[in-house]
Amino acid sequence: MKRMAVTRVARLIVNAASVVVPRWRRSEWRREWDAELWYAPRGAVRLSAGAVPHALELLQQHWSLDMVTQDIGYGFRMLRRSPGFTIVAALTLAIGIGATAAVFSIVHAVLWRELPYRAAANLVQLWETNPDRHWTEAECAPANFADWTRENQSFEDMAAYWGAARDAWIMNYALTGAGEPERLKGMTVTANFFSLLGVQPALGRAFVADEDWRGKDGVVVISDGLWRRRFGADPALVGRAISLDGRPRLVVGVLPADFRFNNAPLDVWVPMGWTPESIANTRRPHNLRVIARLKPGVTSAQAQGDLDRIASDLERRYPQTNTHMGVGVGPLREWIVGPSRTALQVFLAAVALVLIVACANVANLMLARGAARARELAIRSALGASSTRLVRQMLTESVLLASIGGALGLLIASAAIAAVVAYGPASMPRLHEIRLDRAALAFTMAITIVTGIIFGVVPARQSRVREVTASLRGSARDGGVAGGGRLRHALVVAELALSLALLVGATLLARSFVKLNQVDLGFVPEQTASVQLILPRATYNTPQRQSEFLDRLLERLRAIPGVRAAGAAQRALLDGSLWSSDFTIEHRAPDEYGIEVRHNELTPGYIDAIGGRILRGRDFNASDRAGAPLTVLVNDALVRRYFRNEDPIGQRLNFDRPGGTSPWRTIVGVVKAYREEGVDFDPRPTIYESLAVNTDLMFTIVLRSGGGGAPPPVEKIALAPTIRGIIHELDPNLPVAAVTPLTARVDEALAPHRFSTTLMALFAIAGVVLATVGLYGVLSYLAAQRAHEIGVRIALGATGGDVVRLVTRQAARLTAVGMIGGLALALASGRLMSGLLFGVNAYDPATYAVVLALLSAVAMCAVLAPVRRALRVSPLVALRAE
Amino acid sequence: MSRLPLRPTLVAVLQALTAGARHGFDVISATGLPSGTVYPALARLEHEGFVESRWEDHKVAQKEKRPPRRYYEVTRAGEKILTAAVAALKERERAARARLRAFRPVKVSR
Repeated sequence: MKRMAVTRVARLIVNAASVVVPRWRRSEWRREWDAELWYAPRGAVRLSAGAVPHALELLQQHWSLDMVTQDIGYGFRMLRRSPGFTIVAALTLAIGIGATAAVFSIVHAVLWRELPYRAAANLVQLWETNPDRHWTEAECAPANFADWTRENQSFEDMAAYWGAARDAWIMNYALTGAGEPERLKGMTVTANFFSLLGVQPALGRAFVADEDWRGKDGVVVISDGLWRRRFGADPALVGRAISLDGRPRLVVGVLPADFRFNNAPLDVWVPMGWTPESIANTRRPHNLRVIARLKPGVTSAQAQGDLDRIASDLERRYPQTNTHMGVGVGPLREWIVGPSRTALQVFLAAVALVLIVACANVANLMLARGAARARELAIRSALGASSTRLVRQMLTESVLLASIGGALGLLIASAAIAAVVAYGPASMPRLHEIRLDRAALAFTMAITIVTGIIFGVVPARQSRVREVTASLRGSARDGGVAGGGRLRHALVVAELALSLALLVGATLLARSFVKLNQVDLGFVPEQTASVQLILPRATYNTPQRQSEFLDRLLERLRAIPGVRAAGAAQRALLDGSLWSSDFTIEHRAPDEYGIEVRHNELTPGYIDAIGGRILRGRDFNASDRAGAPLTVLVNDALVRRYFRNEDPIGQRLNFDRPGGTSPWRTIVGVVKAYREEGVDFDPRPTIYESLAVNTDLMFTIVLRSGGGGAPPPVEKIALAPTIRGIIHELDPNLPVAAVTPLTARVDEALAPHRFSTTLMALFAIAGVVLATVGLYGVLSYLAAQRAHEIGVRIALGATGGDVVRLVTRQAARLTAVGMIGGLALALASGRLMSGLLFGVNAYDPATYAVVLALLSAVAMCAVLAPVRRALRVSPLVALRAE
Repeated sequence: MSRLPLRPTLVAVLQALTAGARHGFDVISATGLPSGTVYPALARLEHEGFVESRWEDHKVAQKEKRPPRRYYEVTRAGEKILTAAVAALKERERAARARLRAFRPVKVSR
C-alpha cells in the first residue's frame, strides 16, 4: 500500500516535469521514466527528482542556439523587407523607450538614489515647529541647537549651517586681493559639517572642532572649482590666506570636485565663529539649519521621541522663547528632494502612458502586418512549422524590433538627459547627479524586452488561431482576422484614452503657466536693471559708512541719463523668504499682536524703481535716517488684515509682543503689496524699514529707465558697464555681480513651471500623434477591408453620404469610447496633478472641454483620408475582386 | 590549466556505461551520482553524439512482465572523447601532484 503511494508521488513528479519536455520527445520520455520507476520502486521518489532537470535539459536542447539565431536572421530579413513598417515602428518605440529611460534616469537620480555621502540613509534634517506661528519646517535657534546636541541620545553627531529660510542658505562673500574682486557663494557651517557627511577634502583638511569659535574661525574650505578657476590649481594654496569680505582666512582644505550640498555650486565654506555666550543664550532669532546622523539602529521615530523630550524640557525652562516650540525630524534626502516629488511622479506617470501608447501603436501595426503575412505564416505552418515555433518567430521579431527601438531610444534618452542637465531649472535638486547609469541602462533593457513581448504577444497569438486553408486561398477579406479587428479597436480605444489623459494634464499645466505669467506681480519687471552688492565688513564697519556709501552710489546712479528711479533693498525680489517677527500695534488690547510678519529694508525710490505703488502716505525720504524718529512702510496686505476700519498712517507699531522692548515706529506710508517672496504665492503682511536706519552689508540695487513716451528698455542701453564703472569709481575693491533685469529674476522663478509644462506638452504631443496615427491606421485598414462591401452598396445605389456615414460611424464609436476611458483616467489623476497647478482647478471643466474638442478634431483628421478613399471605390473594381 | 574536454560528471557517466551499465538506474548505482545529475548527463551525451540509445525489444520485456527499458551505449565518438578526457584528468592529477611536491610549508619563527 505504501509502495503504491510512493510510486504515485513519483509519477506525479514525472507527469509535472513532462510538461516541459518538447512535445515530439514527450511520449518517449514518458516511457523511459515509466521503466526507470518500475525498476526502482523503493527509491522512486528520489529517483523521480531527476526527471525535472532531465526535462529541462531536453527543453534547452530543443531551444538550441542555432534555432534562435535562425529566428533572428529570419526576423532581420522580414524587417528589412518592409522598411516603412520597420522605420515607423522602431521610431515609435524609440520615442516611447527613450522618453521613459530619460525620465527614469531623472527620477532615479533625484528621488531614489541615496545621497552621495557616507551611509547617507542615516542622515536626517532637523527643524523647529511652532503651531502658534504656523511654523512647520522652521530654522533652529543657536541655543536650542546646542541643547539638542548636548542632550540627545539618538544621534552620532549633529551639525548646523546658517540659513535664513528654506531656500536662503547660500551666503555671499566678496573675494578680494589679487585680481578682480569676485562675488563667491558659500555656506557658514559648524566645524563638524564635513565629517558628519563623511566628506574628506581632496587637499588639506576639513575644519577642526576649535574653529567653531570666534578668534579661531579665520579659516576657509574652498571648492575644487574655485581652486582651479581662481588659483590655477596651486597645491601650495592650502596654508595661505585669502581675503573674504575684507577678512583674511587661511585656506585649510580643497574639497573633491564632485562635492555638492543640495544642487548648489558653491565656492567657500566658513565656520560659524560663535562665542560661548552667543550660542548659550540665543533662542531668537531662528537662523540655523540642522543636519544630523542617526546612531546605527535608531529609527527616525525614536529620534523624534528623543527630541520631543528635549523640546518639552526646553519649553519648561524657557517659556519666554520656547513655548510650543517643537522639533521635527526627517530624512535629509526627503528634505532635499521632497519639493520636486510631485512633479517627478507626474512625469513618470505621463511617460509611462506615452510608452503604453507607443506599444499599443506598434502592436496595431504588427496586427495589420500580421494580416498581410497570413499567407507566409500559413505556408510555413503547412510546411511543418509548429504553431509554437511560429509564435516564437513572431516574438523574436517583436523583441528584435524593440531592441532596435531601444537602441535608438537610448540615444534619445542620453540627448534628453544632457539637455535636462544643461537647461533644467536650477532649483531642481541633484540636477548634476542625473546621468544614464547602470540602473537606467538595466531599466531600459528591461522595458525594451518587456515592450517587445507586450506588443508582440498579441499578434503572435493571433498568428496561431489562423485557419491555414483560408489563408492559403488568399482572398483579401479572409486574410484579415475576425478577432483581430476587435483587438485593434481595443488598442486604438486605449491609445485615445491615454492620450486624452496626457492632453488634460498638459493643458492644465499650460493654463496654470499662463495664469502664472498673467499674475499681477505688484511690480513691473520690464525696463529695470538690478545688481547685488556686498560691502566688505573690514572697510564698512559702521552703519554710517554703509549708508554713506549707499547714498553716494544711488545719487550717482540716479544721475545716469535715462534712469528714472533708483533704490536699494536689503533682500532682493524673488530671492526666497524674508525674515519675520511678531509685531504689536500701539493702543491695542494687551493680548493682541501679529505674528510672522515679514520684513525688508528699503531706500527711498526703491518702490518707484521696481514699479510698485505707494497707495497712501509717502515713501521714505532723506529724513528717515539714523537718529530721526523711526518710521516704517507697511503693505496693504498688512493693512487689510490688521487695520480693518482704521487709517494706518500715523499709527505706531513695534517688532515684539506686547510688553516687549522694541521701540515704536510710525507708519508713514502704505505700499501696494508685491510678490517679493515668490511668483506663485500671495504676498504676506510685510513691514518695510528704511535701509538708512537698519543698514546692512548686503543689498540689491534696482534701476528703472525711461520717463514718459517710449523709453528704451534699460537692458538695451548698455547700462551694465556704466553701473559697474560707477561702483568701481566709488570702491575699486568691491566685487560686482552680474547686472540683470528683474525680468530675468521672474524668468528664473518661473523656470521650474516652464520645465514641467514643456515636458508635459512634449509627452502629450507624442501621445496624441501616436494615437492619431493609430486611429488613422485602423480606419484605413477598415475602409480597405470593406472596399468590396462599399462597392456593392454603391452599386446598389448608396449615396456618398451613406458611405461617409458608414466609415465615420465606426470612427465616432471608437473615439467616444476612448474619450470616456480617458476622462475617467484624467479625473482619477486629478489629485496628483493638483499639487502642480497654480490658479487652475485640476477638474477644470473648461480644460476638459477644450481637450475633448481638440481630440475630436484630431480624430476627424484621421478619418478624412480613409473616407475619401472609400468614396472613390468604384463598384466595378469592387465586384471584380470577387 | 587546459580545459577538460568533458565535465567530470559526464566522464563518470561515460565510464559507467563502458563498464557495462546500460540504463539510467544502472548508472546511478555504478557512479553514486544523484538522479538529477545522471539523467540530464545522459541526455546531454546523447545530444552531443557520445551516446546512443535504443529501446529494448518489447517482446523480451513482455515475457518478463515488465516495461521495456531504454538502453544507452557509448558511440565511437564517445570512446574517443572518454580516452581524451581521462588523459586530461590524469594530466591534471599529475600537475597537481607536482605542485604539491614542490610545496614547502614556510616555517614561522616566533
